[in-house]
Amino acid sequence: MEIHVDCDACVGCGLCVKDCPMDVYEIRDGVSTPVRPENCMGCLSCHEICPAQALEHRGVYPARRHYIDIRVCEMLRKVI
Amino acid sequence: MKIAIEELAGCSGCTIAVLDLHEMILDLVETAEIVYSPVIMDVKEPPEGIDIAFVTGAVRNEENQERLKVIRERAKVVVALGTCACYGGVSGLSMLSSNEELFRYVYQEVETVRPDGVIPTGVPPFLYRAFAVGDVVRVDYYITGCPPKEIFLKQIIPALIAGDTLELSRKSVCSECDRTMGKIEGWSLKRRFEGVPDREHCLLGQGYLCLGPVTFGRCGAACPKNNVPCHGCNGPSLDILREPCRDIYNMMVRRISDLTDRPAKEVEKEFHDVAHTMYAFTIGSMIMEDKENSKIRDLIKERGG
Repeated sequence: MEIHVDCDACVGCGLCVKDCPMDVYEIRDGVSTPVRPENCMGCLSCHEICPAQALEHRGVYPARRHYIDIRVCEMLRKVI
Repeated sequence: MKIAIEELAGCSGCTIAVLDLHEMILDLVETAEIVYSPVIMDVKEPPEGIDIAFVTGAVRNEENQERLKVIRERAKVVVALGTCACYGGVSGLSMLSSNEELFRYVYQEVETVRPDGVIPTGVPPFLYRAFAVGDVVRVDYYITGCPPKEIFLKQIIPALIAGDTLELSRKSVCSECDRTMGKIEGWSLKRRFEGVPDREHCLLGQGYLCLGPVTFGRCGAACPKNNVPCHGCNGPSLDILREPCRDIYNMMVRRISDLTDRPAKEVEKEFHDVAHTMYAFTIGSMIMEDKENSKIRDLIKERGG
């Protein structure tokens, strides 16, 4: 799994380290680092908990898991 | 290019935010003419043929509704400007009182009321609830913020007029905050007036209800950088808006509970006045209210009258 951490955004709170069921992350030099990305099963629970939206998993889309209200989608596209 | 700025139920702060472009407004009026804005010029009605109409404020009474419909008909592009227009904003908090209570409080129980108590006729009646602009008419773009910060308007408005696109951050307030996570020991929720937060460490970790993780950024984390917990004025972060199972309340509870290793039920007991501390800027939004685990419906139901 290709996991990208936006180091500018990350606040180093460690919630992803605690939350990840597969121990993918560790805090190194004050920012979250995916040290075992090969363990990642793509559940995206780290996305849900990350307060800074600093995590990106290439190729995994939460939208494929849930139906999203059509009005919400419309509004999302228009937020500038 | 003709621009209009319409005022609905709001404080006009968003129009002032446009004026906060300062000298850049001179460049703006060179490429576009402001043809209608009740706050900054004396034109009573929006003319036909508006290219971009910025609408600020929520829809709370019949006049707001009527004006919004007129501007929608006369403008090619309607932009909801500010959190009131996008999510109901502070105006939405009016739903915590009944319409009768509101009317009494604003028009009858004030010092300036006429001694004979006669209420002027022709006052537009309240609608049964507050609405965000997008709940009433089709909106083309949303710009959140209470008010939208001029540093972003300086990029957004010229791009809108030129028809350009631009890449701006779409992340939460935390992503713009410079605090680090401190040690969390004996966590309990503090009210804002209790103690002075330390400047280095995360406000949430220190026990203050900082809505940074659930709030859309674009403010440069101005409040947390000045030792004030985020109160959510930019509206929900986009992950909360997008995901059906996420809401301001439940994501705050989850994060606090994970951060402090305390059960969610215990964390919830510490909250005080959820409507004003968590939903102050989104309570009038039907999109936020219709989320399955939104607390807004319960909070409105509890209202008196």
